[in-house]
Amino acid sequence: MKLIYKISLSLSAVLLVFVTLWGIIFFNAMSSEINDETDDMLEEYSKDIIMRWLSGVRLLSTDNGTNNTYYIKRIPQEYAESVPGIEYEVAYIYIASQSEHEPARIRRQVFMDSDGMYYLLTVAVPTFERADVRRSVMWSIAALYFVLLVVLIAITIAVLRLNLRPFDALMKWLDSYVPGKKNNPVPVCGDVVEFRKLAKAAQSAADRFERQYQIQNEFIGNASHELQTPLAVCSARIELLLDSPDLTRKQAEELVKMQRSVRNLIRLNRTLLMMSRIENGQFLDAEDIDLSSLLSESAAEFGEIYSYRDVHADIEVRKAFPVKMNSQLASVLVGNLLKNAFLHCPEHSRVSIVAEDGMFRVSNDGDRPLDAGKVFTRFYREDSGKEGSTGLGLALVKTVCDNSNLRISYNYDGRHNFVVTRL
Amino acid sequence: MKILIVEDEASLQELMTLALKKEGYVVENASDYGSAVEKLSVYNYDCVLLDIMLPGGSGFDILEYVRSSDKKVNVIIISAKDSIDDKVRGLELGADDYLAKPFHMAELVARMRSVARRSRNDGDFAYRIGNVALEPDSNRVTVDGRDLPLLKKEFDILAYLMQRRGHLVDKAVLAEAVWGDHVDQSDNFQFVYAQMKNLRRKLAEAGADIEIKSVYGFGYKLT
Repeated sequence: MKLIYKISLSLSAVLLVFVTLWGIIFFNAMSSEINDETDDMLEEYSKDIIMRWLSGVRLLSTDNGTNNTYYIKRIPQEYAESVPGIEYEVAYIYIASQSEHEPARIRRQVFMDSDGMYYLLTVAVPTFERADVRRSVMWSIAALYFVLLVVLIAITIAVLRLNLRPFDALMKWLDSYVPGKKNNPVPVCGDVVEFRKLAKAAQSAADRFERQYQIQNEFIGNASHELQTPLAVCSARIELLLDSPDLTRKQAEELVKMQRSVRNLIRLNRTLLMMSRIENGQFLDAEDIDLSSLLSESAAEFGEIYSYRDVHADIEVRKAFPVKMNSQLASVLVGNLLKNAFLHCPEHSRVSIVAEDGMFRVSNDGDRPLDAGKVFTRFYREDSGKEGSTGLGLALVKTVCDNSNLRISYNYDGRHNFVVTRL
Repeated sequence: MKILIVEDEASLQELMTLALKKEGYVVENASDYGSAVEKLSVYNYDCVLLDIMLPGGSGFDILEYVRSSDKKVNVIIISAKDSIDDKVRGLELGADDYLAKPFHMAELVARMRSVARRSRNDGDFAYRIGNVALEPDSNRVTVDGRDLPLLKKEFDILAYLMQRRGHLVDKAVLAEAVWGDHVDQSDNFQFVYAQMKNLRRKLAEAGADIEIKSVYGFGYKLT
């Protein structure tokens, strides 16, 4: 999840809780304040009525436009003593002037006149509809929530964008980083201490990585180089032995087997050396090459070599695929891809090659997909590996592509497909 | 023919010496810059096999020294540095050939022969065995002076074997030499056999007195 989404999400969650809480508190505070005011008014009103009643002055008209109502009822003494002197409640009452039920605040007060008679005065004043108010408060709160949210997120994004600019630059740099290639230095991260620290850490990590990569490459290159002569000597001694006249068939056979193993070693070594040379940019002289026709020529050659497996190639050249690359590397690329296809497909099957401008694809049959993440790594083999297989062919292909502005990808759709495209 | 091998790697020197002596050459050795220059200034050689990286100096300097003297010596550079720059520089300085390590002894012998032949009679670069002559430059093969038309692969096989006359050549090695690196994992050399069959038939029909023998089923020998 992107940082900006994460922040927005947490902001909206926190805001939701706070705004809801605030809504509840606001609603309760408001209604208690209204009740308080109403109660005060009712009290005044009751006092007035009781005073008029007791002094025998004409009572106020019920229908005076205020919707206030009251009535006085005589009650027995026992009842008067059993109820509280004053009580309030909210109830629906019928308002004659409007001929409908309305929520009202009601005050009941028990009083006694000079004759010792008990009366119950009930005063009612219409009040607000709680449900209506609650709904409208809720809507207001929801609107407030969304407005707040939008404003907050907008501000957050703006602030983040502005302040995280060095961070973004660092991210871009990380995305573009390719080990072993010429990389730009880590972008300078302004004056924020944390970003400077991060950039410094990234730079030193990249430097260390670069150094290790270089050391590893040098090691492979040097080791392969140093191995060349002893291997050649070994091979030559076997050759020499093979020329001895008094060799028995058994001995000769063993020698030839030994010779073939040594040759595999030499080949392995040569491939490693070649990879390190490619990575060191020692194949620079590029020429114009048509990969389509190179594919056609090589396919015919492989068809001959692998005819014993009854594997044939279907080649479809839709258009020329001109590239500017080293000719040796081009034939390494095409040769290894085709060899891989011819060698690893089942017997009596066909290898399909499709070429057009900017793309070619080599496909062969296979039971199950290869591990796409590993197929181009050195020494990756799907099964135990055929005798003499170096496990370097596809790694070499990848190295060639990486250094020739080409891109190779692998996918499986019942067949193994290797696709090379121009970058 | 007298040959000087300038090479500091002892076992390689020994092997080259063995292989060349077997071919009937007179071989001497030098393992550093100083002794090489000393020998070259005192004795006459027909051919020098020259390593580039030597204790005490560079093979290029030896090459320059040889070329500045008026001795007629063939020089084949033998270098572990399989780089184009080295090759170009060596040939520009007047080397006759360039061989990158590691190489087959048979390859070395073949190169020696062809260099020697070139210097002996200019113009005729053909390999000749019996009544068969093979011209690598014009891709022509003649038997008793008559043209023998061969396909490309057949020609390559014959050329390879003629350069290694009398040596056992492993089928795998032959396949790699003729078909290139592509064949390396192939566990079956039927395609070699098919070409070989045609080549033998054509040679026999033309009345050639060379024969390509199968040796124990895993190699060939040209006699």
